[in-house]
Amino acid sequence: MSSKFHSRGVGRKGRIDLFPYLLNIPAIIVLGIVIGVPLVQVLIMSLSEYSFFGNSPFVGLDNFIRLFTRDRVFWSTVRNTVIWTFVSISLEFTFALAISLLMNRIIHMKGFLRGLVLLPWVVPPVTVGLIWKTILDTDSGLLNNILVSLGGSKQPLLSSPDQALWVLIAVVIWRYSPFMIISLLAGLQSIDKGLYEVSAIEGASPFQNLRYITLPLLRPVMLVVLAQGTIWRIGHFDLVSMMTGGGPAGSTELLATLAYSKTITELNGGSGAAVALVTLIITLLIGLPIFNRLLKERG
Amino acid sequence: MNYRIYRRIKTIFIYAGAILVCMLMVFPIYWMLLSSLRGGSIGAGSIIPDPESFSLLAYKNVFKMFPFVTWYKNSVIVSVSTTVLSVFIAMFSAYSMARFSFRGRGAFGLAILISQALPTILLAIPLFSLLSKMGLLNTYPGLILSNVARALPFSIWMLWGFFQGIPRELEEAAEMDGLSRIGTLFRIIFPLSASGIAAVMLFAFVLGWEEYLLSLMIMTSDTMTTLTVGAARMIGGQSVLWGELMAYSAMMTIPVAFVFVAAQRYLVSGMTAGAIKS
Repeated sequence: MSSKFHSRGVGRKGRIDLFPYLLNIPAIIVLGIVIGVPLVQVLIMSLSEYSFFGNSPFVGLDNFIRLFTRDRVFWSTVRNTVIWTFVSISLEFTFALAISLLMNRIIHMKGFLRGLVLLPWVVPPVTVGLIWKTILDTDSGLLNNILVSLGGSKQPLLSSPDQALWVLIAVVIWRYSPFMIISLLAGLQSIDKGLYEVSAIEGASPFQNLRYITLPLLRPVMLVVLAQGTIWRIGHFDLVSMMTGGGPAGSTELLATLAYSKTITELNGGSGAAVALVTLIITLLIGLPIFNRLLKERG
Repeated sequence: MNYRIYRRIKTIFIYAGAILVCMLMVFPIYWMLLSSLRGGSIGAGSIIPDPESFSLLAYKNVFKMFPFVTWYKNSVIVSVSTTVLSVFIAMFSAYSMARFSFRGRGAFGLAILISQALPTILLAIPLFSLLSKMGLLNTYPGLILSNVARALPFSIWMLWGFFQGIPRELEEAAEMDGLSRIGTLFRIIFPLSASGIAAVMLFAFVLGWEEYLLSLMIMTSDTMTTLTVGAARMIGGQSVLWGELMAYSAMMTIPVAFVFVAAQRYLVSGMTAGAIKS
């Protein structure tokens, strides 16, 4: 649809039309309470020596300065979060693209097979953590049992600072790739089939189809999916909190789990809020250009 | 002739690949079911099922050891309410965004996109103190309100795109026939958006069902606990009861999985119209 708006929306007889505003009131109330107010509050918290009991003196940017200059854990957490986000999203994207191209070719039992591929998406992250723990447990887990029976040696997996982050990356890809697959599939389906008919007449190879038709036309969807995935991954909490809680030895500590443990475990609300705000700023730096583009496309 | 053989081989490869991928994706879920039927034994057994040794002991234990029915009920109440409210509120906003031009529209659009990008942890802590001031801790409305706010941005975004794809001639005709503007939304737009609404409902339900961090902070009393927080409590104990945990997980996951497999085509078509096309 290229047409823009109802002409009636711009006001009748020069008066402001309240109807579009009224329609947005419920959303604004809900988003204001749950997102707006806490956002302001977290900003205030980050600028104060926030304690949950008693008063919270204003300290300016102290929390941030301390974080950037004196907090070793903070920088290793930033490093972990960068690896975590970059590696998991690029692998997940490659995997999801390959699978959606494959699934797009399926004709028989299409719904059933697609449903199966998308299934991990309905497993709650908490449950994902539990299931994979029984598979990855160092002593009695399935994976190590298989490794040993194949003549290999037991791997420490989640209990090793060198392996834990990579294991978590594998699990997060399993759980979240369905969302990418579904978006890419939707994008593939909106490509005009006629283009492939023309290219078949022209004698194009499957690779040429992919290179010159599918990928260029899928580009907008790919960009959205990558940006969206990255944004969500940076602030990820559930799976890591459930499976390692940031350990062993802080090797899987991410910005979100650090913000949580600083606030809840150490009861240092100011510092926790500062970490959360850093996460927000990184998120927005990546998100805003894409958001503006998306809004422009909608008109 | 050669070409036909080539195509047949290609089809076989495509299906073999698809089935392999399905097995990979489904395996952990299969493993969950298998472990849950082992009667609560610790440690991994074989990946090949042995129906003779199947037992429902772990399932019985879940009901015996935890207020499982209460937790389940809480999760259902919260998720269903989240779904219904999100869809209604999102529908109003999406209609406004798709059909009207008004001052502040661009800013609201940006606010929607930013709020779906916010990490939950950023909101969770101040939200906790806000809800406690409002007296909404350990209440359904407290968690439902929070979940609705988390589900709304994406729901609005999707329905907004969906509504833009509906030709407006129908609404103009309805208006000429004397239907009110809100009537147009309910009588014309709503029925035409079934697949988009189904997709949003599925999305909001899954969000409510699996929400963990907010539930953890808002529902602290034993009687108000939801399933996700209950699972975390189960591993908090001294010894980890793998069989019981897997039975618990299975009862939490399987009903939703059925709905999902049945509804996945609405999700794909809803996404196509709502979130992908512009």
